[in-house]
Amino acid sequence: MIAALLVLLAAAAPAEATEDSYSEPATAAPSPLRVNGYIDVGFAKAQGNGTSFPANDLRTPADYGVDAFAPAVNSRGDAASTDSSGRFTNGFLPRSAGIGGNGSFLINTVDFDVRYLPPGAPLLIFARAQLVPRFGAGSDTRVVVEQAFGRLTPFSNHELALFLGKFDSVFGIEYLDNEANLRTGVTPSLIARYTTGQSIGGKAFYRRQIPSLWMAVSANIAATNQGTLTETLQPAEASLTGVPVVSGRFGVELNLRFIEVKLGASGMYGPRNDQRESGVKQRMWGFDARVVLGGLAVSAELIDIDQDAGGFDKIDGLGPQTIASGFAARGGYVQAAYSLTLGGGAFRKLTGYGRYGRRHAQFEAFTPITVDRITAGLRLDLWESLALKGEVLVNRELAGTPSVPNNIITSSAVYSW
Amino acid sequence: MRTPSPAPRPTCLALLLAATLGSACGEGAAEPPGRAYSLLALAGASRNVLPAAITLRGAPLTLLSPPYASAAATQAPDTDGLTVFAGFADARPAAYVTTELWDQFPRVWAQPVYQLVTAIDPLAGPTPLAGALPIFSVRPGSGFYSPFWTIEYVVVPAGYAGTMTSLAEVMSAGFAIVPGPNVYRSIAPAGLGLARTAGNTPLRPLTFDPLVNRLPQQGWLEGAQVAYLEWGQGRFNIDDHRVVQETVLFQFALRGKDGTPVLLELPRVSGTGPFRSPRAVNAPGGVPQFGALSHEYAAVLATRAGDPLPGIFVPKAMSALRDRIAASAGAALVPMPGQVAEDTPERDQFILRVALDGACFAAGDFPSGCTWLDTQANIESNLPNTAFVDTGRFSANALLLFDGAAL
Repeated sequence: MIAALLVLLAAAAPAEATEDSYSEPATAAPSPLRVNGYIDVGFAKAQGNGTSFPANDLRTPADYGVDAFAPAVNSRGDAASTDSSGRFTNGFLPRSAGIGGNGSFLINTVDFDVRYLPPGAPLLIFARAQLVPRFGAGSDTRVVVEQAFGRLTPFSNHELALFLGKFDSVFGIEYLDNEANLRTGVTPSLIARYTTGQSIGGKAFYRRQIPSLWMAVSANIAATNQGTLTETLQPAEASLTGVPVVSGRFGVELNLRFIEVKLGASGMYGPRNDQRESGVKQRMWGFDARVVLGGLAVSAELIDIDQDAGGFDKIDGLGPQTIASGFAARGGYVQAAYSLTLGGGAFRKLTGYGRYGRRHAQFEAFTPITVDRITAGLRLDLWESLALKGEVLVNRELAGTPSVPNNIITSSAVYSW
Repeated sequence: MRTPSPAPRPTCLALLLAATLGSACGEGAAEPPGRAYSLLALAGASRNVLPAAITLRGAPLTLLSPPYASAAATQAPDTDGLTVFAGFADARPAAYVTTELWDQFPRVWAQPVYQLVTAIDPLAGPTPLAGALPIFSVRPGSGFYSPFWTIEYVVVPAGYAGTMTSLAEVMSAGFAIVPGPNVYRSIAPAGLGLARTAGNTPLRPLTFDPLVNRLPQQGWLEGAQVAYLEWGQGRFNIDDHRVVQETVLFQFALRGKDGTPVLLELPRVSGTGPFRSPRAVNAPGGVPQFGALSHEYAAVLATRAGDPLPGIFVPKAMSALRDRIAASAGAALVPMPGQVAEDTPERDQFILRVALDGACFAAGDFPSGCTWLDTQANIESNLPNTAFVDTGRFSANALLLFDGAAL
């Protein structure tokens, strides 16, 4: 019963399931040791050559004047391709599925979660390892330790949790959807690259219920090697500056009988962890909101990020680069999803969803670009262990960069155990 | 986004020398790696990085005044000027201006600049659209900006009346784009030209060869007009990743008490290829395709017991210059020339040129009897390995005189 409830919560309103960023396993068992996971199998087809690189833009680096993240094909945010046809790039790229413009099946993620609850101790130990097979082998095929932490809840009568290890971001709300089995749709938003990265460090989560007002307030504060950017943009495994990045979110939630409203404000500040000078800072703020009314879930997020210019020592998750250029971006999205509960047979729930996102960004001294994306899709939950998703992404270049054919049709079958 | 302010370079004799011959001081820098200085920066907020690069209006033209010349000269009162430095390139007197700097930058890239044309004839070349200005693609301020561009011809219909003033408009217009030659252009402050006295052409110091003046031109950048100085086409080469090929630039130095090089106020020597990789001189039509992007090295005139003592050639009549050089390099490195040297017709072409053995200045077979350290090959083959110190600096240097011809 609890397991089914968790599955339904994950499908209908994923953000509701794991406010502390730990993805609750989909099954319940009395054993203190539990192993869960999922397999995400996809099929995707991109327009053009699967990238956002225009043929005639010869500027260097090639990834400064386009949105290379736009043609995403899966929940990881991998692009159909990042092949710049030999043109120099400087590490502002997602991982690549390597499928170019061809329709292709993909094993997006093979996920293993291990959770251990030591008997008699207010402790949870959790590790999430993922296999990510990719065409082209080399560095693209990886084993990823996405999370590995211990969570201490020292007080039984206070909702305080202390984390140490590698864990999800605390910025905004989209990190709650990181995993394919939790995400309503297939692909992340245009701003997910800034807010959904995992990092290593310490974190404290506290929530205080105010029953008389049917509300709660929460704080989620982290000090980590890097901030909340995804791993290709800033490596998490080591602090390159010796100074941690502080990030956090303060939230207010109102839980009435027919409607839930959750609001949050987030911030991040600290040195850029894609270079080695502690004085080269990055700062980001954001706001988020969620409303759940019956089967309708609406969420929105807005962010603004600013990174100082550094020197010629950039290194990110894709390897050594060149210049740590100054960078600024702002963007956001609005997503609406409506779920129909179908019953207790094979067909459990059908969810239709749509999202509009927009992003404006500029590398120092380069032409600013503005892009947007319209996302629409359907999700069908079968039994307790299978979600089928289909999604269309319409990417548009609005200003500063030529229009390129980079729309996407993608799908995903997520098997959970 | 915030761009860090330039860190001051270390105090050393080079700062004094920079006031005369544009020396660099690259040792012991304690700043973060990677700083780029465009011409806009060198003329503005980062002027302290290489103050000798620009002579302010009405200021003394140091290299055209005593002790380098017989009479004082001042910069024209109506404009600032890029200081013209004397140098040597492939054993010949050269003149150049320094337009951009990169400290701790291992590479410099070329960017595209777009030019509207109505046709491209295989023999006659492109037909420019009347009134169309070049459209630059990257602003100074980015570490990826450089004055090295590849011209991309945008072929528009004859009589095209539209306007394109930004890269985005070029990309969106959908016209055919045809690659053209490389061109060296510095986006510059409006009104900046070459250093010269009022009403006169610029001159090479020491030999006073007349040079071709440059006037600012107009181009487009992100919809706004910008001024730029044109230094010419075909001055450099790039590789497949648009990295500009570098050429070594030697600055003579002595070893300081702490072992670090102390740069001397002598004309610098441009090589023809990267350090330890000299190439055959490539100068089609008299325009050298080397020397635009220089990787600066100090070449220490270290001597061991028994080795000949290098010499810096200064004619007898230029006693004040001799005293100035002797004050920094030591009198032993400035031997008195013999009569043959004094009577040599091309004597002035050797002023401040360095010979491996200064004794040759008094010999009867001057200048052919000297081993001159005025080419990359001669410097690299005659000085020990320990003589060379990478300053970590790249500079963009526009050659204005090469092989006796003004460019």
